[in-house]
Amino acid sequence: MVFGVVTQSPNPILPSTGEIIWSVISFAILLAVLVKYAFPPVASMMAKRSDKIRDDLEAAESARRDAERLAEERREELGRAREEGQRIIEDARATGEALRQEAAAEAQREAQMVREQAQLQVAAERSRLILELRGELAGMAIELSTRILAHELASSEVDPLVESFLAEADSE
Amino acid sequence: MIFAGIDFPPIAELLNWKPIAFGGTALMFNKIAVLTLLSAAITLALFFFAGRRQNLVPRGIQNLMESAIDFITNSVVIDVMGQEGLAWVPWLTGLFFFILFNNLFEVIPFIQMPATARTSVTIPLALIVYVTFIVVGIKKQGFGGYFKSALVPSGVPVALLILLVPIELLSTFIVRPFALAVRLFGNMLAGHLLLVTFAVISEALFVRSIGLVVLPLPAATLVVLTGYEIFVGFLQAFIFTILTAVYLGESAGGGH
Repeated sequence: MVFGVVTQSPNPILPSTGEIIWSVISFAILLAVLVKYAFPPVASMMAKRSDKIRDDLEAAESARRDAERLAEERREELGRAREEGQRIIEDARATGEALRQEAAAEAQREAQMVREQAQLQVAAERSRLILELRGELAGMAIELSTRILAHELASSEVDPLVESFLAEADSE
Repeated sequence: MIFAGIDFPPIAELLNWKPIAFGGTALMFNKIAVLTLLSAAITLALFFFAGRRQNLVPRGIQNLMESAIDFITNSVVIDVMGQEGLAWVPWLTGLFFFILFNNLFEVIPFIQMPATARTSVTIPLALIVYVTFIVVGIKKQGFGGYFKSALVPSGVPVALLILLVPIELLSTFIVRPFALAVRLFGNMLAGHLLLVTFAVISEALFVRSIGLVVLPLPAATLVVLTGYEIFVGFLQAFIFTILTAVYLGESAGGGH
């Protein structure tokens, strides 16, 4: 004999009353306690977790939508700022160009004015010099005439005198 | 019984357990009674332990029990009974674990006896399911409505009903509880006898020196069969539970 079990019933397939009663009692206790006390906390935790996961997913979805909206707003603002910057640059460029052209025109005007003044001054100086020269020449001519008369020179001697006078005038 | 020098115990010795208490009375308390109470106690302990933890991220036993509830809910109740069957989840979960632990006692060292290899356990369970689905059917559809929907298939010519009604009567009200009880009992008894057979052979070969030559074969088969019996334990618990769900769903929803 390998197993020391006492045979009780001639037919091992037939149920025994005691085992039936105890298995029904076991199952009844299990169901009663499980359904009333043991199962609900586990199930409620699972339900709570499902709710939390659903809420978290909804919150994440809403946060994602907010982030997308903000990003879109930033993009639009950035685009507007870029356009504004471009416009300012173009304005500055146009203003700069206008100022440059104005300055160039002003410079040209001033240069023209300076040139004209210089020309006027040169012309005036020239006239003054000519007048001076004329005056000096007249003086010299008078002086020469005076010398000629004073030395009573022969007509053949006049030419060298005139020549020396002119050479003197040139050197002055 | 002695076959070829191997002392094989009579089947009655493997299944009939002597009383521990209340011997000779209707409340005779033996190993099977201990095992059924133990399976109920283990199930409840696991649920209380899982329910006490209440971690947002489940670990260990909480995770195991929640996965089991999830499995029963989705793979048994929702697939078979639909959303309206959700109220049956605790009941079916209890049934599943009760049968599962009673099956798995087959491979637990020093216990090595599936309580479900006794008709004393499977017949009451099948009868409880039987009574429950009939009561649910009568409650949901009324007495006449339930028996009409259970026995008279819709869209069948009247002439055929003479043939079909007795078949439906037989299949729904006689074969169902019988099949439920016998399927579980037969599978677990067969597994138990297989394990005992290979254990006895291994032991006999080990004892006799000549047997050492072929010892690895029955011993290895015993190990493989033990793994297989664990699988069978889960499978039979699942089959009993899903069939119960099918019967309850039919009763609640009008069958056919």
